[in-house]
Amino acid sequence: MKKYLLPQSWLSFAYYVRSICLGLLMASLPIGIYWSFWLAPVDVTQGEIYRLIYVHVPAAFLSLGVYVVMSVLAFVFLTWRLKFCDLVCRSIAPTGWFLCALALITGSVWGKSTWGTYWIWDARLTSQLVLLIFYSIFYLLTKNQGRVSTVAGYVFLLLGLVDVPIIHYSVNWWNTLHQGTTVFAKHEAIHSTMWYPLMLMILNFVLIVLVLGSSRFLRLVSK
Amino acid sequence: MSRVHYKRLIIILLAGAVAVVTLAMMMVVLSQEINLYLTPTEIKHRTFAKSQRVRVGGLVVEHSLVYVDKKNLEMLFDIVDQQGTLLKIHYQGLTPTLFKEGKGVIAEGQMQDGQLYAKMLLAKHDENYKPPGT
Repeated sequence: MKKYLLPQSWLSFAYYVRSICLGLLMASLPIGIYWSFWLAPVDVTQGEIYRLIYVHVPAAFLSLGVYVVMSVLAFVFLTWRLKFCDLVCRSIAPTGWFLCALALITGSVWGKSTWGTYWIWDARLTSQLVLLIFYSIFYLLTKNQGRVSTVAGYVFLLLGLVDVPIIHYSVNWWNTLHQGTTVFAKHEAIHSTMWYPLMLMILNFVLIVLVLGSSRFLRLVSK
Repeated sequence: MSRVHYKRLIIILLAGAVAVVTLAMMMVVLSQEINLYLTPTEIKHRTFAKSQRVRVGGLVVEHSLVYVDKKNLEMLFDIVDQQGTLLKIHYQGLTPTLFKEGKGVIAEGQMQDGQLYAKMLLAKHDENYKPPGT
């Protein structure tokens, strides 16, 4: 049992994850991109620009998903100080930061062409920006592996977890410029010809997280 | 679980609870400030200073859009909220791509004589996506 708590025991597993996910991604990403940007029909109100949904929604969804996973690892790390949790958490953190920034950037471009503005301080946009700040704080504090700053980084990371439900429910709790949820809507908010490519793109983004995460894990362990 | 782990666990859970409660209280108190815009009904029951920037949201009433001066893109239209309260908006300038009668809009500007003189106009769209003709 004790053996599995050592990061070194997971090296070969990480190699497998990286190889398998990279293989799957090379097959499925071109299909996903072709399906979403060429095959899928245009939207009746927004026209072609709605296709940003195929990057924006997976990026936003996984920026939250990665953060939740990191928070669970942070909780275990803070309580039991398992090196393994620390390494996995730091392995996926940069990808989470990148996805969070990508969601903000694609949202900004999309917002300019549909709403008429790059940015507005509404609850959804602001809470997503707060998440990016939490990602950044965690990265900066854990970068140099000082004992105190590492613990501080994880404390901040856990504190930021309260932002996740705020982001998700912001469009229900307050009035915002950002529309309500499409993917988790109670009615059929998106036509099936647009829904399937969206799900495939979410899967592709999961694979991207796994490929980048396992690569960085391998690099951090062998350091 | 050893004593030190147990102690850490309790500290983390307590700190987490304190953080959540504090934040929830802040959100309840600030709830009105976090809202992006007021509705025409809320506007009706409040008075505003002439210089105060006000942001209002609602649906553009069908057939209410008239151009005061078509060449200078000066227009007047009504917006309506769920309670059915109307508010007249005056705006001059380019409208966002999705600005349309019957669709959602957010306008920011100053209140004067029961009208909003908007300096900024934003279009709000819903969460539904479908191909044309379905």
